[in-house]
Amino acid sequence: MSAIRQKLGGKSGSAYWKGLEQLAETDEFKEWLDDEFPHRRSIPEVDRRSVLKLMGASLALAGLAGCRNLPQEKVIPFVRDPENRPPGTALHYATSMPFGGYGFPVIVESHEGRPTKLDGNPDHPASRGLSDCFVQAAILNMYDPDRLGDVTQKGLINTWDSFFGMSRKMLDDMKPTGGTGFHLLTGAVTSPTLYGQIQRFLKAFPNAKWHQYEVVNNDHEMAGTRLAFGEAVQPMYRFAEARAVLSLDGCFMATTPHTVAYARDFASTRTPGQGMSRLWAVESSPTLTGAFADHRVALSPAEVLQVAAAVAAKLGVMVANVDLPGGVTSKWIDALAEDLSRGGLVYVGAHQSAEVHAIAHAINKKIGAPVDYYPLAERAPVMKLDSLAELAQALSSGKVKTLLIAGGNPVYSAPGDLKFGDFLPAVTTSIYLGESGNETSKLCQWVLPEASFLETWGDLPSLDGTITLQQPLIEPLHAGKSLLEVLALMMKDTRPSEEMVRETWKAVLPTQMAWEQALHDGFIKGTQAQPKEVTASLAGLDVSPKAASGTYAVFLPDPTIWDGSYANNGWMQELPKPLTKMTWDNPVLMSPATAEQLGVQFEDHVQVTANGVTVEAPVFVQPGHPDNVVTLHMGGGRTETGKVLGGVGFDFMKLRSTRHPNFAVVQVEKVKGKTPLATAQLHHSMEGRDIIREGTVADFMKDNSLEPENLHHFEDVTLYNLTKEWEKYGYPQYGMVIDLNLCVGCNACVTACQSENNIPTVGKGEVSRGREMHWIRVDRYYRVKDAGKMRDVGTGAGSPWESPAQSGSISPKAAQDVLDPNSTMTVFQPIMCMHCETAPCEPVCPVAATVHSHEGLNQMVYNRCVGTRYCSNNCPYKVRRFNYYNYQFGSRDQIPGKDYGQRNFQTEQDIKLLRLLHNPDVTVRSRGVMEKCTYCVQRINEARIVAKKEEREIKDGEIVTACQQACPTQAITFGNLADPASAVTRARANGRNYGLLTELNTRPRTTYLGRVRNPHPALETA
Amino acid sequence: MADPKLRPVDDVLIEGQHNYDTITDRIGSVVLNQDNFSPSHAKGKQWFLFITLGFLLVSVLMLSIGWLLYQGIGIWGNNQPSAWGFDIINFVWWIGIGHAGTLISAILLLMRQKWRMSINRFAEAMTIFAVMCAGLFPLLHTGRPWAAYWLFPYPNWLAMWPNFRSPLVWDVFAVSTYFTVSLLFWGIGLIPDFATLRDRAKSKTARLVYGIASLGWRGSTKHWHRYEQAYLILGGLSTPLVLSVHSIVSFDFAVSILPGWHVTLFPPYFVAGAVFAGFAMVLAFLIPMRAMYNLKDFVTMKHIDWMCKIMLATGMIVFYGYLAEIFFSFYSGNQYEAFMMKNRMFGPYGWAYWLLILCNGIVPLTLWKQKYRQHLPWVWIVTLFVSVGMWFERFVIIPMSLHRDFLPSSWGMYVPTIWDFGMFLGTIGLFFFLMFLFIRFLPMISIFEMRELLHRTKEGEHKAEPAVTGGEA
Repeated sequence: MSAIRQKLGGKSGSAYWKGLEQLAETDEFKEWLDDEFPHRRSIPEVDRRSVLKLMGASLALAGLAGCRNLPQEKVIPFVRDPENRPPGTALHYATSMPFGGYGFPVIVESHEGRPTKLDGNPDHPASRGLSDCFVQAAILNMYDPDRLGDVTQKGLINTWDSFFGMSRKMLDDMKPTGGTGFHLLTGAVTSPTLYGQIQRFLKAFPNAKWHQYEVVNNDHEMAGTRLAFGEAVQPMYRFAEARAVLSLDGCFMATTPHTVAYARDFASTRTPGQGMSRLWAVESSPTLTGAFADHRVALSPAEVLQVAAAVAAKLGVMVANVDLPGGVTSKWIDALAEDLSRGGLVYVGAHQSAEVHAIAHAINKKIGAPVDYYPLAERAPVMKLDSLAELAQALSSGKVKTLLIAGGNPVYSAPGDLKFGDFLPAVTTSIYLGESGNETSKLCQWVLPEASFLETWGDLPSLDGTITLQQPLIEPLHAGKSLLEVLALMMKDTRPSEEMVRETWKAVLPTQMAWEQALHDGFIKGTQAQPKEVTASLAGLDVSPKAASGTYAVFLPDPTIWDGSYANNGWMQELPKPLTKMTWDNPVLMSPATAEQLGVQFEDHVQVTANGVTVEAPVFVQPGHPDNVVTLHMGGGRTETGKVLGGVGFDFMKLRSTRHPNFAVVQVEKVKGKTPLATAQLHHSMEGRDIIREGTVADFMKDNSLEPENLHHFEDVTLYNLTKEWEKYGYPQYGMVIDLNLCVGCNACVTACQSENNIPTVGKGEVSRGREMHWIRVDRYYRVKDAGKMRDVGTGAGSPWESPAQSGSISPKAAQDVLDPNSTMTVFQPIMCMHCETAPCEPVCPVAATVHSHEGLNQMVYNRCVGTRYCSNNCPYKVRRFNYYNYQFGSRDQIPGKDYGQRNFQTEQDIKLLRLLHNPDVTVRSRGVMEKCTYCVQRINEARIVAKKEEREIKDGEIVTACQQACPTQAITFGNLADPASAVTRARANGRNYGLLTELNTRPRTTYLGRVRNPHPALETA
Repeated sequence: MADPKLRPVDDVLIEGQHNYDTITDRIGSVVLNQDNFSPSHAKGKQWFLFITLGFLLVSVLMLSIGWLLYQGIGIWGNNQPSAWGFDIINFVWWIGIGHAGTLISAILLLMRQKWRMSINRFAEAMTIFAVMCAGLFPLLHTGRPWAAYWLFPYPNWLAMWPNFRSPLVWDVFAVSTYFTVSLLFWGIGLIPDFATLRDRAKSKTARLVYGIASLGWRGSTKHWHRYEQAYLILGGLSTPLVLSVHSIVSFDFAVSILPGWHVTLFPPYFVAGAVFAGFAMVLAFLIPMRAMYNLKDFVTMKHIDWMCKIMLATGMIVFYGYLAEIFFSFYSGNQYEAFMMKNRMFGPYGWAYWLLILCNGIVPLTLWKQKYRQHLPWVWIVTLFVSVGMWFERFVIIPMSLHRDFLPSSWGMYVPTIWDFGMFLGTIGLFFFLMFLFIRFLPMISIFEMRELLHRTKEGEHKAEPAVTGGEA
């Protein structure tokens, strides 16, 4: 200010300034303004040009900018573009995404400095280029307009400078007491550099306390290995080598941090006719692994122990005389034990009890299962709940003077009996560092914006211990800092974070070249951990049945919003949960029999009481769910900050207690009330139609086909010679084959498509109106085993249609069918545009907005579309999606009823920020226009251009669609059908190949490979 | 007729003791007598009530259209899978209603059915207004109505033509031709009456306006000769339209592959349904009007009887269509077709199907009985049943076929919103409004044709033959 005064003062009368604008041009004034009103420098001002100016990635050079007393790391784009890199070409950088404490190696697609898409790193064994929906959706978290934008103190905007001023002074004051009263709460720390930093801090302040807490934690896993081996180790399963797998309440196919590797490895053993493996599942809540299994029983969580013990006893691992729970026969156990003894593997869900873990480890040891035991990835392994309880204890006794919470949301996610939120406001200095505001940050005095993993440097171990490297793809959008930086700066360590990470790995990567190579690869080669030798003993293990009477609740991370960390992510909220197809909510899941007992139906309210806490929530009747058990998905019902998460879902977190964090006996009562739920699929039976072909290995091997009996073969009558048409043209003819035998229904493809193709979210209200926009959907149907045969739910002897079903409810007839959870089977089928050769949508469009390309694509010309929607009516697969509103740009309408989703971001700033996320290769569709799957035509075009420039044909496998790229089991094959050697042509030649609804003469270019189950011969007719 | 108490319907097409003057007076005065439209007068009050009601509903329509253009189709209940709902139901319903007018003016003209003379004006007006209401829907139901003109084959620098394979393009031609021809037909038919009104009008403005509209009509033989020729030609032109328009509208469905739409029977069954609905609507309006404006002499019980019989005949064709559909569905051996029919009958919207059968199949059967055909309140109620039934027929065909098609995973429900009803009621209001304006400003029964009819009647009397009867060629 004084500079300005000086400037003004220095002017003589003749030198006018035209106005404050001119005055504001001075650098001093601008700097003062930024300092005074930091929010003014918000992201929306970051237009494309300045983004371009500010960002850029792996060439990023860190440096100190000396203008402030804080170091500023710059992310600088290409100052001079390399030759032959035309603007508009995407750049790809390797980095690492933290998930469940592990680093997941990713490749980021970056357009002009904007990261737009994440995919797996093909060079790294934890991914091999594959990913899951959590990876795919993480990019939206970075662009979340609700992220913390400013440093605030007691709700007022402040600066990083003043925070560090305050904290440094505070630490200086603490020096004499060794940091007594300082508590640090982090997630599970696996990063060596961060661990080193924390250690330095603890060394300087030896009396300071460090706590770690994760909602979805490995406490029981650790305890289990301690029981079995006497030490905590990390088991890693080599599913590719297993001939049979028993999953005890574990979903290794979808909800572990290692899902991608596990699912891929296991899928590789599922080729019918080539020694197909067998999957057995025992589970207390339906999972994708259970749906995939050849044999599955649904039990209460406590009964899982009985099965484990029985199998162990059968295999001679332990002496136990246990009663078998209902639904499990000794014949079943015998068959299972026989399978396991011939190259099997037992996998246990992280939330199962330590005893089950221990038994499984002992079995695995006994049968020589392909399992490696690694040292724990965590640097300072603690039991997370104990650690949090310690902190809560300290809080309640008033011992905590300063609390720094780095990430997470303990006020929301701590077990109810800790009453974490009650004592937090009493802490003298509470600091929250996080990406977005939440229930915890509301109660903290200082709130600091944390940099996203795409904005910072770091290092994280992956599945096998290999260190993956994080590098910033963009300068922090909200001037956020990582915990690593914050801790360093609090201790007056002003080194840039890149240097800190390099420092850690100096020994391994001594040269600049080695460092750059590691950054390029995304991980440091040769850093994988060495498996440990362990011996199992089950001495003294108590396997007496602990089953309490009453209804069990199983607390699980939500299949889409995880522990609530994805709650403000519209893509994830709107992603239909794989089994329920529910969007935007997490109702109480229970079996049809339990619902009948309680006298409740879909959407009716129940009251769940445990731990002195009562939560009222609607019911979702889930076929295949064990009776007298309810599944409560965590992560919903968040209340604080976020335009997406507000009012969505139900908060079951507080029903958990430190003693029973994963299972608890609860009271479930029917109460008055109903909440409308938005499901993406309302009907659950195939109605006896030839939609998903399925059979046993024996069925398939008999005649190398899965065709249903009495299938009417339609004669291919046409005036035109369509079959050979493509051969005439000499163009590639694209087609796709989806192997239903590999599809686990995990939704990775759906989110990948959403990310690649700029697909908007529409909100709960619109989903319940049936207007979700996903170009690819995963259909889920229930079938029942009836006298050894599979048939569709609700069909058979009775009438083949269901009673009026407004939404996801099961008709009385169908409900009778699915009363037995063990005979209920679940099947999945991903459906997107089939690119029919004789597409019914094409002739009916009055303006020729949907036409066929010479490469066999059914194209949608957005700017020609006037939106009559006739094409959708005439599409038998109903894969077309219509922009009923201006979904993409959050139209400002006032539709009665609650609407969430991207439309909720109504400010120009929010929309502008979200636009940065768009893939520039894909047109953004506006209101009134039809859209659908394009086979990722932008990727086809890109490959064609590259091939043309190089004067060659497009190679097989060169074009990879987004869904195909993400699919963790590689169920999708895409390529040129006119090339007899291509992978897709070979897949089509498979005996399991069939087209959907081909009797309509649509000639779909996407075909399916039927699903094959591999039941144990001894149980086949059971 | 077996009932001896029942008076046989007179074959007389003009009742009462009329001469040319009284005819002109009776019909013309409806327009020219200001009392009819003055709120201080009993009759005027009625008119005011109706036109106000119509106006209010037109306001609802304007509001609905405005909000629709601002927000998008999302304000309606359309969804995936039911991408069409009220929009196309209403379109087809309105187009159908128009058909009575064309049938009366064209086919009955060519067949020299004299009884048409007293109702053709009214029916033609209804045709035009109904097509106007209908036309709103295909235009506004597009996602981007500002680009809807792309459906026309207009020359453009992209050399881009519409897709002539699409039934929607056929619709554009069918409906626009239909509207043009109907308007011309009506307009030409009005010329001699405009001249009459011009001659009788007392106010200067009325004289001027009617004078311009009458295009210098002096009633010379040459005029009459030209008039007769033009009228006959247009009659010839409209005759195929009666069959073609609704056939083409039915192609919107029949051409598709959707079970419930893909039916070869659709064209004749749609045409019959349209005539059925059209006559119902004509009767629904005429019965109160003839009482209100004292026109019972011109719209006699004989007319009503004839119209009832046409309704009965076409209604039975429609009912046959429903039965045939059931037969096709099961005889086809196609599981999708069979399911579609079961879903129609017993699915979540089963009530709509049975309501349709009741309204269109059962209730009109009462018209077999002369007693019921002469019972005006009952006839009026039947016409309402038919109007509702024909609306539900389109409901059954459009959203009910769409909502459960091939893949059960995509099945959904169709729930209309308040804006769907707003648009529907709004067009009803528009129709009402235009009808009452028509009554206000134009003679609702053709004056000169009534005079002609009287002339022929008199002629007949001279020859000592029975009074003019309708029906004979």
